Amino acid sequence: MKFSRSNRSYQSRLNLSLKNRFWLFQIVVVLIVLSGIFMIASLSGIIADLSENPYHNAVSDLQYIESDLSVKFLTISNSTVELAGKISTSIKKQLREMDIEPADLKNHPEQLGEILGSEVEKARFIMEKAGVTGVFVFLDATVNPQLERANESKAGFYIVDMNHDPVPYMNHQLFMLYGPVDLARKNNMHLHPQWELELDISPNTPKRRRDMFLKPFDAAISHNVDNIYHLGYWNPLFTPAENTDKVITYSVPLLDENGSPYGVCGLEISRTLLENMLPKKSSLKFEREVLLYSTRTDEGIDMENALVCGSNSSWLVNGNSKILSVLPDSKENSLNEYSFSEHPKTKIVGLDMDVRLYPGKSVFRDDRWALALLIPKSDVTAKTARLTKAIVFLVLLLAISVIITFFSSKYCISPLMEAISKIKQNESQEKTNIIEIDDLIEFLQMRTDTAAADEQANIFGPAWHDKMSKREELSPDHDDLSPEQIKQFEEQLKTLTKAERRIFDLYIQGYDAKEICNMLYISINTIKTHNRRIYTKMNVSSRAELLKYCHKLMGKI
Amino acid sequence: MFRLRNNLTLKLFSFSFFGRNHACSCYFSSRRASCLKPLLFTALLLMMPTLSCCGSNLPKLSKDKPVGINIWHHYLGEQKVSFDNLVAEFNSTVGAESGITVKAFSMDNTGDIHARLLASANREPGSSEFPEIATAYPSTAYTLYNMGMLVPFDKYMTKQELDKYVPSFIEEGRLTEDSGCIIFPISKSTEILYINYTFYKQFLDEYNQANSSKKLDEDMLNTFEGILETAAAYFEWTDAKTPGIPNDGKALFGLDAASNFAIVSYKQLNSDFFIVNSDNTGEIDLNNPTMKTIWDSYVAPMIKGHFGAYSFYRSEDAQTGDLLMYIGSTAGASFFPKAVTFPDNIKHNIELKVMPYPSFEKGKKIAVQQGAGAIISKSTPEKEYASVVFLKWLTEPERNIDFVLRTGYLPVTNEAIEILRQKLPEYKSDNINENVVKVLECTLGMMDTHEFYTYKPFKASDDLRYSFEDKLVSFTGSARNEFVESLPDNVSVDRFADEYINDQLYDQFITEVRHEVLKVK
Repeated sequence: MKFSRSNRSYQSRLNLSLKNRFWLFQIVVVLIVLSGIFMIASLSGIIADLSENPYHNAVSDLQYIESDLSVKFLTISNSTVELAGKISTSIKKQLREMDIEPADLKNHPEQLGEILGSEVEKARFIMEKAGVTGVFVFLDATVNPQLERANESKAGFYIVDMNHDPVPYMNHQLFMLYGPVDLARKNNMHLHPQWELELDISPNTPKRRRDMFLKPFDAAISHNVDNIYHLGYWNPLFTPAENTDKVITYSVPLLDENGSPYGVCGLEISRTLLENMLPKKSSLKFEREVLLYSTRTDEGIDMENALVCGSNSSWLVNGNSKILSVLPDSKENSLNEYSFSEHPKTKIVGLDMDVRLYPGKSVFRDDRWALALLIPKSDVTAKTARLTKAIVFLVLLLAISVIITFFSSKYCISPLMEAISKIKQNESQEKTNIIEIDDLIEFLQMRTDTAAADEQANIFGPAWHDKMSKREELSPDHDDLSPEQIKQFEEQLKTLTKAERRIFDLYIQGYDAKEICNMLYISINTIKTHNRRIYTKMNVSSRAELLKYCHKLMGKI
Repeated sequence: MFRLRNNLTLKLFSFSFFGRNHACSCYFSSRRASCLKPLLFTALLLMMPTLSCCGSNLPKLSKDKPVGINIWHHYLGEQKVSFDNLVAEFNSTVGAESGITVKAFSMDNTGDIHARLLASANREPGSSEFPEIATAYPSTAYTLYNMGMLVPFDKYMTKQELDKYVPSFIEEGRLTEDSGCIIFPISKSTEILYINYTFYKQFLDEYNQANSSKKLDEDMLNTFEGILETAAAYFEWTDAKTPGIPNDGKALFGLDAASNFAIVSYKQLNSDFFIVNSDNTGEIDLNNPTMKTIWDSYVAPMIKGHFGAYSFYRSEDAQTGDLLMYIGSTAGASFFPKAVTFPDNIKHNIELKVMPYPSFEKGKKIAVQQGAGAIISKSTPEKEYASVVFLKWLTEPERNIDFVLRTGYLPVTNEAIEILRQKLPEYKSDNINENVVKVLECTLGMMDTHEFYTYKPFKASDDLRYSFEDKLVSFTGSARNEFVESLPDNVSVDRFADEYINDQLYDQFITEVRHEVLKVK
């Protein structure tokens, strides 16, 4: 725009009609508002949440959790190996003093109480140091070898700390799940409601409960391994006794100097503690996401004893399904699709990852554990749908705004355009009731009148001008004013200010606007302003109408 | 005056800015009705939320905005399994529809919960966040209530809903006159006599055969005096099994909660264990002759070895064969062992018999009413209401009966009691622990024959009570050890007890107890 201070003239570079300018202005406003909304959505993370690719986040989360779990489990397995070392050293020393070989322990049941009693303190110490919920030591011996199936009963102790989240300054209350009663009483422990004297590894006992002892014990027999760390076994979720909470355990064999096992020791992680090791939510922030931790086979993830973590996991109904398998048409770089073989309608998406539990030389290195992040497929679909809806909504909003602004600008400008059109066509102009337009029209009319009068004066001389004024004054139009209107006009006169009254009087005397400007040393804009006020107060819409009233009044006078 | 032209924007602006003094009032004077209409409409719209709130005070729950509730409880074993199953059922049904998810944490015993709740309430380092619901005894609830941590559950229940519950249970939950109902009854219990009937019957038959002039019978177990006599006979009978070892007889009987015995004994013999002062402090009535009855009925037989207490709970002593019978909570029904395991790993399956809580021959039939109820912590209205929704669901007759059948707790609603009375025999099945059914049968009978008693907590009432119990147990244990060490081989227990358990020993006991309870003040 070119701006000249001297004459305040404006010249726009944009060659646009008033209607289009106004429309453009409105579109700019709409775009600014929409940009503001978009910026707020971006800053608050809504855009990011809706548009992020869940696959990459899932990969990242699982990698982190797997790494964290591996480290924690490594710590626990190291603690177990440490326990085994301490207990082995201690027991061997005791047996040496008793002149008993470890392999011969089963023939000396009378010594079991004393041997086990001396290991309780070490076991408790390691349990507390490792921050786990239980510790156990079982020997390949029984207190009563004369009983039937005595070889399926293993003497030892299993101590449980059910207070996994300790109250400060409060002593833990420990429970003995297996072990001699006097051992519990001497060490101020409760007997667990499901207490048994010895561990039963007969075929009647659930397999995983037997595996707690048999897996590492048998591995030590069948493998010639120096490092007991390679003989350690992670037992998947199971109940260590009837009606107890599920736990996982890590157990290693106790080896004599020949490398033959004479017992097993291990540490327990309760289900609750394991849940606390896992994060409550992933970065995906789906309401119904679950983290699943279990063993894996070639068919899929074992669901029978899976640990399922999630504040809202009731949707993961598997009924009698034992395996959760990946569907074959899962794509690369996107979430897998899973289903239960018995419930194919349960649509699940997610990702799973192997958890490294065993070192490369472990006897159990082929046992696979998996960590899975699972979400109902409908939730992922719903999120994508929300993003799509948001985009469609924004586009529609923009389109509707453009259409509305087009029509609103047209509507707003139309009275002005009509008035201008009528002026151009020199038609008589009715009031538009829009102040600015009526004012402009009157101004233009005044200029036109003044110009016409000047032209007439130039052509016919000043006398003609006087004659026209008198004619106007004598116009029979005076007679269409009622007495009430005249009276009201008189009343309204009193409301004029001094300046307005001065101008009014000059009009009565026959001066026109230009003359009044020169006489009073005021600008034409000031005259226009006063005109507007006078007309408003006097309830007239033109000078002619004003003069009509004046002449009527003067006639009265 | 100034007349507005027909410019809508100006009119609205002027009206809003200048208000009723604006000349627009003149302009609108002729159109006052049409102007007032939008004004009234707007006012009504603004009032709508207020009006709708007045119609219903309950917070709104929605599955689009789920509410998480943590509950700390003390259930173990079968009780825990049963409770966990109920929580899972709620989460997948009513919870899923209403937007409530409950997560339960077992705190292994009420002592632990008490300490943990106080630690959490005091925001001690390392303590967990205070749960929305917790099981607690009245004394714990009393402390937390006075700390402003709890909300009365009747705030979210109608009178009709409250009337469904056993009145004495609701009344126990009113800690003070103006507290409202603070403790929601979910697992009430009383005490009964548990008997290892397999071994007891064997003893009874053998003893009566050898002692036809002083036969024992099961009815004697209805009174404490009868139990004392039976215990003395059992000690003598077991001692005789090892002729080469004198005075090694075994204990017959034990008590899980010695303080319960003391409090209820006072009540049976028309006294009150506590004397509560007007400032809500209290003391134990040690001068009452009933205390001597307690001494004779519990402390003396404990010293003599006729009664015993070897593990933390008497059910553990029954599990190891160290006791044949004990008084314990009905909630311990599922903990009574199905077999006794001896130190040589020999197991014997045993049968349970239960009998009502004994009374003194001259005493009334009164038993304790106890059991931790559920307390609701102050939080958001939605969480408080959701907690009540869960607790109401949990105690609906169908579910309450299921929980009761698996745990031995008492039913808490009148309807559940009636159903159980009529249908208990039908509930016996492979899934239900038959010991629990026996306990329930006995307890339902006690509801007709016994009065159930509980005392209102006062300042430090639990500290007083447990201080007394600790001293009673420790004094008894020390006296027993000293008795055994001092007992000459050639003197019978009864003869030596006459000398050892004398008035001086009783006075010493009273003095030590008095000294101990004074520390609480």
